[in-house]
Amino acid sequence: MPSQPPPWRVQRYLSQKQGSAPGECEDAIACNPRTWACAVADGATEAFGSRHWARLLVRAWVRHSAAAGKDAFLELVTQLAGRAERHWAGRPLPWYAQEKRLQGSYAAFAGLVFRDTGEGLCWQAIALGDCCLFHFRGGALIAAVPLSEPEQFGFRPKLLPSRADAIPRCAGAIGNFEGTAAPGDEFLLLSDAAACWLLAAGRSRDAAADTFRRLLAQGRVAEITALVEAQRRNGSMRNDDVAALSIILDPPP
Amino acid sequence: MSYSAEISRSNPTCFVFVIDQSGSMADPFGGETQGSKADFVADVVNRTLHDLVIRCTKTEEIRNYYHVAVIGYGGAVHPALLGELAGRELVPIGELADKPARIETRNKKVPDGAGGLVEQQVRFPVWLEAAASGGTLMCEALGLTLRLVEQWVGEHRNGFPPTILHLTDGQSSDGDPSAIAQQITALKTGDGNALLYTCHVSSTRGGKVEYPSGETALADDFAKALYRMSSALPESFVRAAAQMGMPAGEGARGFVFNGDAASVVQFFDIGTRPANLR
Repeated sequence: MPSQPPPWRVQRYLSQKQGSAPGECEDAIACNPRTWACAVADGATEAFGSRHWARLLVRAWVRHSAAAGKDAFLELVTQLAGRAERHWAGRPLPWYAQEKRLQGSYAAFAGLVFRDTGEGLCWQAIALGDCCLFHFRGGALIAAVPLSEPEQFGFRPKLLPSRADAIPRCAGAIGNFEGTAAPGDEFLLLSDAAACWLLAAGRSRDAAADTFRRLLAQGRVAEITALVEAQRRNGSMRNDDVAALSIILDPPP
Repeated sequence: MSYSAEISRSNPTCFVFVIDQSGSMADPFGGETQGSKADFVADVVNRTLHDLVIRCTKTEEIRNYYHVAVIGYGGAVHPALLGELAGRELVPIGELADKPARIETRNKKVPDGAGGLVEQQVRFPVWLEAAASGGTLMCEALGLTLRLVEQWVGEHRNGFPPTILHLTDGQSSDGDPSAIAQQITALKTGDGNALLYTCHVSSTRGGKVEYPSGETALADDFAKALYRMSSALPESFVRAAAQMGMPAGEGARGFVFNGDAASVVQFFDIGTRPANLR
């Protein structure tokens, strides 16, 4: 675990889909300056306890960012599955909630951690589903993982299950990514609706994409909300929860 | 683009199940010796309602994404939900969830994780009982459906259009239902016309036609009339059919003729799968 504070400025944005209450948002974000780790997760709309599962995943992952490797990550998710099970056990639930609980929770996930190699910074990411990491350098997108085209969204991606017996089956869909990071680099972690929109807007050179990044980096929540609502209204962005984290590495001294 | 409206609590959709309960539904499916069509269809409808409820369950609560009606027809036409919901027509899914007539415990075979099957006890809520008596008052049943759908689209101008799942095993005994079917499918929201799907089941084996794109495979005027009454499947339903291995191509209609037990299960599964749940 790094002993220094992270060389970054982080801003976050989280909002629920139109028509839902803030407490119904099933996206989650977490950031831990002690471990230099950030994560977003998107609880599946049709699953049981999605909000709880997404929050459990991001909070635990940024505490245990060593779990950037696939095996350690699966071990962590298995432990969390046990916690999720215990969370709901014994609660008086109506028959349909009991039935749904048997199916478990599901979430897309993307986690990002920085490490100091002694010669500079590198980043490692782990992702499953359609939560995405974007890496910009000098204002240009140089990496988008695990999805890089707007057409790749919307095909029922593999998600992280909370049922212990289902976890091994998602192992093959977990993606590990890494790269070097330079001072001034910008990283975005986004849940699916915002990620898909950003890729499409970037491709069509829509100025709204740059505006979104700038507002996010400055933490101007009300203006981001206005932009998101406008993009939903004009049909560019799907009406879904939005989780966004902007991480900008400190510029060179 | 039609049939793309988001389905949410503020913008729900509607399912109407229209179930033939005429006397001939007491017979088994073609090639089967045990169990009536009526028993099987009631089970499938109850299972389908269960699945709709589960789809709308959000942790400890249920969200009213759907309004549901079940109409039974034989010698009489009536709203067919039982228990506290008896006599009710369109019911929000949350109320349906909270008021099954009873919850049975049944055995179900599930994978044991080692390549085999193991029997497990599952809850089986019952909203509809099997019934089989009298004639086939199809026109009257579709007339009631027309009234419900007309009222619903008037109140939900931007909703995903209503889906009507009509199951029958025979010809109408109260006239030609084609005109009423046309009136139903002419009703529309801003997202498209109401969808009327028809599943004809048979007591004789063979000659099954599923989701055809034309009339050429249909043997007689009765089959052709049912085909013409049925809506074309929008793209999301075609995809659902394809996922189940059904050869529904472009222009396929939501229509099954001489269906068997498996056809019934697939029919209700495909018909309740609009994809835009939020």
